[in-house]
Amino acid sequence: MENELKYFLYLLFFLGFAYLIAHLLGRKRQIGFGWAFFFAIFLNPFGGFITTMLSRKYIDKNPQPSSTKIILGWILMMFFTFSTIIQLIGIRNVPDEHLIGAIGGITYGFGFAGLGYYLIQLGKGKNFNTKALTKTDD
Amino acid sequence: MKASPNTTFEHKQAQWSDHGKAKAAEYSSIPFDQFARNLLKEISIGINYIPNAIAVVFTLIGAIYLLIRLPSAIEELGGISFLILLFVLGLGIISYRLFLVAKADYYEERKRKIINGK
Repeated sequence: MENELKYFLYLLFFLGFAYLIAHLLGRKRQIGFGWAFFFAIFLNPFGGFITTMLSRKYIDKNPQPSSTKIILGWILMMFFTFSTIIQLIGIRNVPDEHLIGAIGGITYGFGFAGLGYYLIQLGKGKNFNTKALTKTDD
Repeated sequence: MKASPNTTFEHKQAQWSDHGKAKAAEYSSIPFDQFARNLLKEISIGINYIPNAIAVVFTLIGAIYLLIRLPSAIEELGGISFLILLFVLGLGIISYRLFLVAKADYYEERKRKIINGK
């Protein structure tokens, strides 16, 4: 019971921190609330914070496509999608004492696959946050 | 004809001296209230970039820490420590990108709120 309460409080703190990052930082940037929240949950709040801070506040209305981001995105997405699938298949054989670690691995795999998809979209010039300030309108 | 390095240096020095004097005259003519308002604006813009600075410092510390640990990791792990080198490189690139993003946003925000806001 004590352990369950500890995990519940940890989860609550984790989600609260992720929400704060998405609300206070992601909402005002090109990344937007949704993606910032996604990364803060799946790449842990620290990974989410760094990814959010890599996103600009002031952006071009029509950003230039970037092939580097698209290629890097595809590599990340393919590698981590396969890795997550393999981990999901193998999770039945994981002993109980390593279950939390295995779930953590799947969570990170899902987060990095999401990062790959995000980079592909970003490379194509998509703006995820229409409310974010642009260089041309004030 | 090419100017000698001394002449170029004296010319540049005179240029900067004139620029400094002009700026000193400009700033000394600003009333105190205006100066205080400008200072507050600068501080309010600067405060917005504390998270950016924290992110840059975190990633830099991570890269430096891994770089310091690298020699002992090579002894313990051998070839696999090549991955640590990749991490160092990745963190360095992320740190530099974070700095570029913060710098570009800061210039843009300053331009909007101070230079265009006058």
